[in-house]
Amino acid sequence: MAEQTKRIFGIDLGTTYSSIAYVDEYGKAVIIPNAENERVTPSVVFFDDESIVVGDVAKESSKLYPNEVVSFVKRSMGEPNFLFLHNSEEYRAEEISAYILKKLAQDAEQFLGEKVTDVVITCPAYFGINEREATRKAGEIAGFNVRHIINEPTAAAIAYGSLDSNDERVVLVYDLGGGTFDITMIDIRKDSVEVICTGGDHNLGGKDWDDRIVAHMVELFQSETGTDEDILDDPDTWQDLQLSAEKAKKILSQRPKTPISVTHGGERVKMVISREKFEEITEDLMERTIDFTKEMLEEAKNKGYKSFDEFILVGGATRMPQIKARIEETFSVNPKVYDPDEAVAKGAAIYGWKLGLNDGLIQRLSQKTNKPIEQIDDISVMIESNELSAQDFKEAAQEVADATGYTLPSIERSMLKVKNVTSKSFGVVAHTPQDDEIVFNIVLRNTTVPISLKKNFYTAVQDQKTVLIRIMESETSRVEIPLDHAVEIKTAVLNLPPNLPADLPIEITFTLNEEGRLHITAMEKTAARQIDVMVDTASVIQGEDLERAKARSQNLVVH
Amino acid sequence: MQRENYYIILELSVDPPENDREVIEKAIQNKKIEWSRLRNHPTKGLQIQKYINMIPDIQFVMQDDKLRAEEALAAAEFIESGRENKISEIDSHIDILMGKGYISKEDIIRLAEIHGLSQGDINERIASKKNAKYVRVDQFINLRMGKGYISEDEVIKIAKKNGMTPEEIRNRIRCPIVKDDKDIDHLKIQPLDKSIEKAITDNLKVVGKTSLYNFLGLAETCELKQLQEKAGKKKKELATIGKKDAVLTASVTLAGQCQTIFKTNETRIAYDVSLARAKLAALDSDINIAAINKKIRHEYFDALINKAMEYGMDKDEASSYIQTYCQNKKYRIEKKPEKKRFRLMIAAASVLLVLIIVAGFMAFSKIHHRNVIESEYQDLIKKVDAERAPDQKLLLLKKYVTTNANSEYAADARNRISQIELQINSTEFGKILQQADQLVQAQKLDEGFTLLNQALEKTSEPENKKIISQRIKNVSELIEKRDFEELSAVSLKGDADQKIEIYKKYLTTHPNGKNKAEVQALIDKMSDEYFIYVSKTLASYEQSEQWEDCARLCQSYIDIYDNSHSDQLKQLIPKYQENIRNEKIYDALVDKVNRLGTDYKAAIQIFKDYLAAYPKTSITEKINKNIDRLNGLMSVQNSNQAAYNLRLQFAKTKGRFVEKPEGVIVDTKTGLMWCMLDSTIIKPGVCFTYEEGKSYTEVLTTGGFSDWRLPTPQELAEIYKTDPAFPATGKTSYWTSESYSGYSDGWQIQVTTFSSEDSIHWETAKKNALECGVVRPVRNP
Ligand SMILES: Nc1ncnc2c1ncn2[C@@H]1O[C@H](COP(=O)(O)OP(=O)(O)OP(=O)(O)O)[C@@H](O)[C@H]1O
Ligand SMILES: [Mg+2]
Repeated sequence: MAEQTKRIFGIDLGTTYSSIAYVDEYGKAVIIPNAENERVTPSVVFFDDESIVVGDVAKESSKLYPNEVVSFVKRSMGEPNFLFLHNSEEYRAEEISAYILKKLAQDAEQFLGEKVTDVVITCPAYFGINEREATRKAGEIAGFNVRHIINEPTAAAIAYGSLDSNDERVVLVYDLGGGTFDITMIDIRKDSVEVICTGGDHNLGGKDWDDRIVAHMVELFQSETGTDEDILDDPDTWQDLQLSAEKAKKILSQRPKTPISVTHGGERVKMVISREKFEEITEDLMERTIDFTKEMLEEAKNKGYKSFDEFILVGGATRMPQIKARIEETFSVNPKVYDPDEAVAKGAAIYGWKLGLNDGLIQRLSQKTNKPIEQIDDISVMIESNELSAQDFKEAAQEVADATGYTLPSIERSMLKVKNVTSKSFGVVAHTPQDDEIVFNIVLRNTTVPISLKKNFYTAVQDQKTVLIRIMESETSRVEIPLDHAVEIKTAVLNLPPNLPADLPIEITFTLNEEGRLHITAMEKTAARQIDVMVDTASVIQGEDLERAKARSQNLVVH
Repeated sequence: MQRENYYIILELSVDPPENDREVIEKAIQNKKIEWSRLRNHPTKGLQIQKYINMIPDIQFVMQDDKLRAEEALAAAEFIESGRENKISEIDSHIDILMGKGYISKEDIIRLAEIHGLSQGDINERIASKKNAKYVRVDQFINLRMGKGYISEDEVIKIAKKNGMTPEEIRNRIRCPIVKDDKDIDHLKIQPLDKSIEKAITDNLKVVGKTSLYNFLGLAETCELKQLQEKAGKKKKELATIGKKDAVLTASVTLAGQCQTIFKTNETRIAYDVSLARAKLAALDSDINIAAINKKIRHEYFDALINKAMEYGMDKDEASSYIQTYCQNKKYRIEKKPEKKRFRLMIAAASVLLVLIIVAGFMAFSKIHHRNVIESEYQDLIKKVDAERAPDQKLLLLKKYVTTNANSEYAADARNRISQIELQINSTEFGKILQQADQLVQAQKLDEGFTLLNQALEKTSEPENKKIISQRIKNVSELIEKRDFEELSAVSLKGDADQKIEIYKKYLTTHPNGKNKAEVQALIDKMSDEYFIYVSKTLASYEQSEQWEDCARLCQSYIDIYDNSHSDQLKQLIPKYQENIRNEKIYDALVDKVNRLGTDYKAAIQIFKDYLAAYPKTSITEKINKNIDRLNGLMSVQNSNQAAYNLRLQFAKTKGRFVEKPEGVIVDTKTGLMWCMLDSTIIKPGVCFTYEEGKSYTEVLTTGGFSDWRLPTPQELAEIYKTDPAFPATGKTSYWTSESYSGYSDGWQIQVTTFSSEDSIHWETAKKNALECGVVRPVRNP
């Protein structure tokens, strides 16, 4: 079998656990175990003297070398002021994430005996523009050709939808992972996966449940020993408790109580935590997920989706029995727990696989029709408009099938359409005639992407040199909002050509691509001149820093 | 909320202020690294995240010379005020250490060490302490509030101690004041889980609030419902803020916590208690100070007790509190020679006493001696025999059986009982009694009561009358007991109106009830609570214009209380009655208008006349709505009229403009189709902003078409500026499809309009999208 298409891997880069998957020769998505023969790898990075260790060993090391270990780095993606210092070298979140990706890829290469070059990486639906860009940069630093960034719930839905591809249905994906909560309504059709609405919080996940247990253990320790000391000030103790809390939480999903012990300053206190107590101290966290779900359902109603067919649970933290019970009680449905740890990576792999097959199709069609590859983008649209003949398509599909060994229907289905929405609104800072600063939203959240919008800007004075555009992100659905209800994510500077008159319209085009990343171009309309736009994002690694990180990553050994 | 000072956060020198840019940059960089590490700390994470989010502002302020100088000044002030706080803390520690009669050199060294001051500073404080008198009323109150309530006695005590009036004290208290400690027995409280408490405290710290009450902006004495509502509202409010930073996350979490904590009275009280516990922390820190090498000298112990008493505890409370605390902390309390023991014995004895009382009930029957039992039974039989009424006989025997169920004479007693019962039941009268007894047994007290009363009326026999009366008395006592129990249950967790209702009911059904005084007291105590309820309910009645209910509710308060609240309510009643009258007038007006049919103008006039005579009454708004409605109807009438006039004019355009289908004018020159009526005719007097104009166009279905749009300026020019022109009337300004983003910095939306002052000369102009304009929709054929 002459493999014509490039293999594209799917990577779930999670807050607490990551995994990698591919589609095997039978068209089935499978997880690739790591060198330790585990199907998921803890997203923990340990900076050892000479090398970098990722995974279980790193996680266990956090107790001994708390200051050399980074966990939950995904929560800091897109955070401009995150900085990890090791041996007087500074590392940003993207770079640390890149090491996790490298580890996954290396182990997969070892396992399959083939190089990992092209990947699809997932990120929470609730990630904003910068976080998405940071995710892509992490992949680039790791040395990959990042084919696509897709949303975790979308990936889960693809994996879920691929089970039985004839059924059309609207599903709610409730994804409670280690660090983020996403609630997404997805319309699964035969040849498309369409996101209707999304909501959530990327600071709400299994870790928050762990933190409550940690706090509880600290209290018990204090009352048992009569000390007032905050034992979490000791990094060793903190890490130790963090790990035991997670273990305890997992046990409590199975059993009504679990013993646990805290050791600090030579004192050891044994305690028992019951499921009841656990649920009591975390109730409000669960309620928040329910609130988000209700809000999202309201928004979906505005889009004409008044009901859903299925409620599926993904993400490791949905294993906590109270979650399922609460959902049953609130929404009167029977939620399905669907492959909570692996669905996302598998869905990403399936998506990557389809991208690969589609590439093959396009290549062949281009040969057949003598059209350049760039001209063939959306095959199904082109067939409909008779730009391509159905006959050519059939032949091309058959050839791809022959070359790859996959069945003809699976090749034909590879033209899966994924429609996504933005999880946040974005806009620009504008001045009202009263000269108050406000945010003027250009794209409201839950708008389908890709989307391109043009806004005119008028020069204020003659020979204006620059225009400063402050790009703001927010979580409302209103057009004008106060400045402090939004976060500044980027600034763009337009460098205008000299000697422009005042009041000249400049057309600025804001494009959110299908990944939810933002591009800005500008044009001076009267002379149809392209205008130079410089986008500055301190929040995402770029320029020299990016190059340095790439170089550093190439020379690094990751275990 | 005031934000933290950057000098202090960055740990920079304040005196003299650090001004070296490099040093400051380095400090910021170090903080970045430190905070990045702590970013995911289980309890401090949120606070840290808040700091991380502050970095851009920190950089901004610290790089600006002027702002930085201000920051340094603020830091200096802050440190100064911290010093003042510290002084009162030192004073209280000095008090404690002086408890043994003197302050040793060692003590001074220790205090200096603890507070990071020189020994000279401490000595200075001691000197000034000697003649200073410190008012600590609030401390007294806070400590007592620790229980979740304050008793009237305590108020008076505190007042006396501080030379203030009880009223002044009450004004400072932010928790319920009860008459009597006994009222609180039901407050068996499960304290809040400590880690929840900690989570709340941490989050409060992030948002800069002191308690959940403070967070919601409500008083600690607020009703549960109000707290819940506010929490819900707060949550919704927060959801509209489009930015999830640390403060917002903390706020959302807090709002959620409010919802769980203020779900039931129990959880709320649990929270109140933990709030109070926090207030006890002051005393705890005093104890810690007194503990040198984990040992508390007996002089200190006494001083601590005095201290605690000074805070407001009584002696036993104080001693047991301190002892428990020390036990937990593993502090040893040094024994005081001899006397000390005595005190401990008292404490032990009081515990024993409680145990004895509890155990006593159980032990009672067992410790009776056999002889006692025998003679007691014989005495009973004598008494029974002496009694003439069989009913009374039964009563004595039954009582014996229930209290001596296992005695050897119980069988005999039971025997006698059944004999007597047989006797009684043989008579008609007996049957009624039996029936009544059965009812009572089945807890159907009221039915039993009625039955007995009926029997009483029927009997003439004085002996039987007496028996029945006795039973009636018993049953009514049972009813009273039951009602009172029910009432007590309601009094614990009911809403104000439920409580009042049941209290009133009790007083009417049991005018001489055993607990009359107590219920009356409950009612008296509720005068404020019920007033709050009444005011709130009035507000909602007013909202829905239930005036009769308003008046009734006021009256119900006035009937019960005679106080300043009732005076206030009395003044409201005439207003409500006025409104009730107005409602009647309104009904009459509507009636009159309805009879006028389609003569909308006359109908409007009727309403307008009324408004002219009575410009502001409770029905003004409704009338205005009606006028609006009639105006709408009239505009339909008018537009029909306008259409008629227009059609006459279209007929004169030599066939250029033809109506097809109805309401749609086709320009035969261009083929474009226009709405015959523009928005001024369809909605006279309505201002259409640009956006409104667009949506007006979008939803329009004139002629059965749904693809209406705004015309371009050129299209409008074509119909108005070329002959034969579209008929026009007066001054108009049409919105066109041409708009520009153009805030004052370039983004404000500007729209091209097509306007005329005289319907002859037309020109295009630019106008802010928020102004008013007219819409003349067009569609392509
Ligand atoms: N049996 C279990 N009971 C409770 N929690 C569990 C269980 N198993 C895993 N978890 C929790 O699920 C979380 C990990 O889930 P998952 O791997 O889906 O998240 P992630 O992909 O790392 O994070 P995210 O998707 O938020 O970035 C962890 O917090 C883990 O402790
Ligand atoms: Mg995940």
